[in-house]
Amino acid sequence: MGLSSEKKGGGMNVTRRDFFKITGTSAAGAAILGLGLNLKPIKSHAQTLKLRFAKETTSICCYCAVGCGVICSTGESGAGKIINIEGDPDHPVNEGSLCAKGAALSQLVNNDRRLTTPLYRAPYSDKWQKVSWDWALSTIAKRVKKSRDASFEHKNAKGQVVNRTNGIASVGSAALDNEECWMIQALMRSLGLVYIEHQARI
Amino acid sequence: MGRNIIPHIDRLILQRPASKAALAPFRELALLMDQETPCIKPIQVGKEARNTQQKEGFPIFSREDLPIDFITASGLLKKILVHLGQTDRNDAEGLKMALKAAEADSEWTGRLFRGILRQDDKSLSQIAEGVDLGAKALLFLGQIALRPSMHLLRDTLKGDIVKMGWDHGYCPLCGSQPDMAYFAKTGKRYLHCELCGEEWPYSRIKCPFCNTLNQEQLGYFEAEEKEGLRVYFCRECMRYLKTIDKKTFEEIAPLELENLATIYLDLLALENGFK
Repeated sequence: MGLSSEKKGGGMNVTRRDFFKITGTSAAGAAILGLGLNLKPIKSHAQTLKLRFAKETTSICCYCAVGCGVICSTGESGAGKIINIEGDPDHPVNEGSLCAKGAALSQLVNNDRRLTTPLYRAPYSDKWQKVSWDWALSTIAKRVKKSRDASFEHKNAKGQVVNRTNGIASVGSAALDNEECWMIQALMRSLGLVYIEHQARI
Repeated sequence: MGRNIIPHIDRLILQRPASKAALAPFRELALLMDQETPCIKPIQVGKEARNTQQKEGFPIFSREDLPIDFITASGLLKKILVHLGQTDRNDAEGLKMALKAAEADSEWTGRLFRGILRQDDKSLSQIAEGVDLGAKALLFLGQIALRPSMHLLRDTLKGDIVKMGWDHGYCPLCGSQPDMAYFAKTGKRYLHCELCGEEWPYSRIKCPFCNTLNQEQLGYFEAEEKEGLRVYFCRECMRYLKTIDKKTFEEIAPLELENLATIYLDLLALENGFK
């Protein structure tokens, strides 16, 4: 019988005879017969339930170098979205536990409070305003260039080549994963930044 | 199980009314089980047996060699047959015949219990046919009668059984298959033995029946309205295992009861082709 990913428990055409045939390994089936149960109310209850099918896949938390094991439950319905992420109890690193960030991993995918457009707060303003990606990216690029040009040091006081800027600092977000952190690190180093920090180390 | 399970049954019925259909009739049997005091010979598991168990993956006992108190089990079975024979059931006549057979032939219950322990379907069917009862019904009643002795054995050997590193899909005490599982607060999965009620840790993503680790073939379903109760299945061997999550429930009952309280999940599993 094929499995539908989300379905009502309807149908329920398991007969007493089927149970007898099927329950070679089902203790519950024997219990039903042994207790002489009337299956009608149990069937009725089952029919009202909406089932959700999922599979579990092991993975590694994306956030830091500890490498905690996680189990991702993926719904078999629709686009196969993550429906739950929890610590892997059989993983030797974390034995099922996760830190607060790891425990919220599923919010990387499912989070109705996640921002989907850039927000800009102008100097001396107390309000955030929605801006376009094009405007945000070109404004950031212009300001980075301006600050970098103004503060770039080719040599230090001893005459040693340093090629650095102390006019810009980078503070990484708590929601950056390892791969994103690597890309940001490479970009910031290429610009000559020295002050590079990430939430996980603070 | 047997001792002090009545409060668990009452609580389950109160908190999960859908379980009443199965638990209310079982409550009567549990009261009978509570009255039994089985007796088994003192047993000690030697170092050699423990080593063999750990290294070779053998359970302490094979099912047919279990040191069971058949006398107490036989007495309990008769009480159960008397009780159920007085209730309004289609097979009341068969139950009365079974009682008659048990009283007339002292070996009848022994044959039944040995048939159950050896998982000898042919012998069980013959015994059941002789008294005009369904073999599965008789199997269940026989298991209930054996349960106080089995649980005494399990409790007696508590601490003597190697469970750490026992990543097998069969019981380290008696070699039987699991009938249910639970997730501890850490998320670790523990399997529950269908016969003796022993519990042992087992890999979270692995089929206990065919040992497959193929994550594409393993999965679960749950009712959206009932968080914490899942049916894990394997599409390689098509077996299923109901699992209750201790993180979700403040208190769970002994798994024998949870198993009965969730029979609707068995119906749904069977409906979806699992066995």
